[in-house]
Amino acid sequence: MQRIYIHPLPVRIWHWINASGFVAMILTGIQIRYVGLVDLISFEAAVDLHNWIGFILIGNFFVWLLFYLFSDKIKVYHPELSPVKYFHESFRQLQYYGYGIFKGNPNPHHVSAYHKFNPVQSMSYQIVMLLIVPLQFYTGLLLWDVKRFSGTVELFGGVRVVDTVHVLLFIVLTAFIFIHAYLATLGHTPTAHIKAMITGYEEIEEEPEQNPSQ
Amino acid sequence: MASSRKEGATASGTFHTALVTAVIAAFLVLFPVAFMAAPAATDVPADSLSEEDATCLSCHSDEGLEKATANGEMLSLHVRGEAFARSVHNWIGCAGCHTNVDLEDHPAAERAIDSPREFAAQASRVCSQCHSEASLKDGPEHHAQVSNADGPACVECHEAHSIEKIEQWKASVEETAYCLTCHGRILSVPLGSSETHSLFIDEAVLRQSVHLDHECADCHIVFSKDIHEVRAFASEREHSIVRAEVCRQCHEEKFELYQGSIHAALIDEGDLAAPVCTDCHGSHSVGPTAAYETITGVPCKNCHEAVFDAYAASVHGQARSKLGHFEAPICADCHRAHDVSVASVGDRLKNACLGCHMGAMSAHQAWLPNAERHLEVVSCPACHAPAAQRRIDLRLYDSVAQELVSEQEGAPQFENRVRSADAKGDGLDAVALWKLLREFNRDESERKTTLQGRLEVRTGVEAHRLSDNTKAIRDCDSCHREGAEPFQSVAVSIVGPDGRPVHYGAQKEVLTSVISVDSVGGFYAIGGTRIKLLDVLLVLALFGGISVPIGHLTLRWLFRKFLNRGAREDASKSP
Repeated sequence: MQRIYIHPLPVRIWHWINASGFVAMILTGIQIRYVGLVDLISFEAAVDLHNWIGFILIGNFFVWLLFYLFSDKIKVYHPELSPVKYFHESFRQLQYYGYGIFKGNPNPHHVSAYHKFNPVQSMSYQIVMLLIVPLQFYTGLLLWDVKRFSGTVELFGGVRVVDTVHVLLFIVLTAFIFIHAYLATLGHTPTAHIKAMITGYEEIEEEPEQNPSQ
Repeated sequence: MASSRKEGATASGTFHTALVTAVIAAFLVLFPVAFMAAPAATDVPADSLSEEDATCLSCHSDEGLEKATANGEMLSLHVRGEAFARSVHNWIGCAGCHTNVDLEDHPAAERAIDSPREFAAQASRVCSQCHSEASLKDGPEHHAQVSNADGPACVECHEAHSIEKIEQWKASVEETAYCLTCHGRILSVPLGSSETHSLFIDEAVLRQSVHLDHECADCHIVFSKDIHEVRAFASEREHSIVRAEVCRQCHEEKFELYQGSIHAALIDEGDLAAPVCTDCHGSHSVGPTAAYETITGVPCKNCHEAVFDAYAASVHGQARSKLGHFEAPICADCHRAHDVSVASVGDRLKNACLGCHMGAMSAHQAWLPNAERHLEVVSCPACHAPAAQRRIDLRLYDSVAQELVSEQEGAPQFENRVRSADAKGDGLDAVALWKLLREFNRDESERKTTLQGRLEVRTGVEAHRLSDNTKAIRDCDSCHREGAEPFQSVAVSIVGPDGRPVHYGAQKEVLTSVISVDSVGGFYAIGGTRIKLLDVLLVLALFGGISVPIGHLTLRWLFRKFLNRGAREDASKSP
């Protein structure tokens, strides 16, 4: 086993704050939306928590953003500029998750410090972090004080429109959290990726030497 | 005396004589005018009357002479001889009018007289022997008298034995006294309808009003001692409405405010039950402003009795009536006195609440998320009248002009369109509501009709049942949960021609349908009006989020032998 440092400290801090924050946001969001069906805490307390955690997450988002903007680690998000190559690699990755993994085939993606995401991860994280999460923060901010942002709210078509977008993104992120957590268990051991996000070091199985005849 | 003065005349004496003469002449002219109505004139002695009249006065000059009538009232039989001698009728003598007095059988003590008034009416019939009804009708001031059999008898206005020449009498009395000569008595005229209009003015009431220093003609400018035109009104109500113009002469500003009120709009619409000036203030009994701002004196309760009762029992009414807090609001403080607007339209009432409760916004912000938004879309009574039933009013709103959409006068588009959209008649459903909006926006590019939602109480009566703060609804769950009471009743409304909202029922599903994102985009209450389709999507997301990992995990377990084989193959490839 080889240990590669792929998760710098700011990323790990951001990740675990973000992860726990999103779980809390989902739970308080469910409480806010489903009073009567779920009665873990009061509506008022759920709204207060939701707002506070939301602001923490917005601040935390900028930790992530600024870290990557001002470090060379941003390379991990560099997109594959060749669409053919990108789709080919993505297809290989999906083929692995949907088929090869059951046959015991090796993961086609090989992790390195500047190449820690497979093509599917890279694309989905960019969609989540640069589109879904900011939009969720923005709609959340508008809903936090509808009167203060009434002009923008009206521009979007009203508070119900903003809320509907917020809830749709909440649904997407809820599904994402489950899938993300499961995929985190698909390392060489179920806890390998999780440990890596704590220690920063990913354990990489050493590559077998290539057979020249192949 | 004049010749002796001439004998001693000097230059200064001539001047003195002229001055004295002028004073005497002025005195002789002014004295009769000033004292013509005075009863005890002594310039014409009673002994100038005929012997027959003197005979009558031998008894009737007794001031205490009176006779009991059948109704128990006392009829005075006293005649002031001097006054009669001075009167215009002195030449007629007693027997000229009292033709039925039988001197052989007088006094006719056994002849019953019903009442002094009946006696006056009977005695006045004698007048018509000389003053025919036709000649009286020529004088419009007698219109009410001759139009009404129950009007005052001649002698009630003109007196019986001291009647002066009418021109002399007019000149001798003040204008208001002239008017009250007749109008100070029970007097009425029949109107075009079956109603009777009272012309009686209680001077005592008038003198207690704020207009105590005014004379009749100050207001009734078309009337004077010389002008008394006959006006015809179809009804008492029509007269009241016309009478408002009298108030306008001095109170133009208030009248203009009134003209912009719901009351004036109703009058314009033909609803004559709506109040005009005198309905609230009275006509001759107008009190000071403070008189209308008391629990007992406020005129609004005359028409809005149920609303007023609710107010009287509210925290505001109780503060006034029981605690003596006269700063607590009464009707006009919130609704205003003259420019009364429709309560459920606009921000006036909310502003009225916040105008007194200036700390309300910050007090709400201390605990209520989105406090300003709440205060914008939730009417104050919706929480502060906790027993009230509530509903959602979806108001048609022009988002370009930023004002509520009003029904066009004479073209009831709203009524026609909602009925067309709601073919089944069971309330607008989500699709029908969406179509209704589309209909309003058809071919009207200069405006954009949307719906502005507002949580309010269902009736005006309930809106006044305000409780103290400790009983106000503060439980978020009362609205922010599925099936919450306010969202069980939904109405769509437009501002009617008179300023009042016109409502049409909608099904409660209009607030939870996915179509509401478009049609009711501006109104949303978390939990209470959540869109059902999003709930389904969340369930699917949860199901997918849980089942996909479980399914994948299961497949991996089922194919674990291949997993192991793959691992072995990898190992075998290793050197």
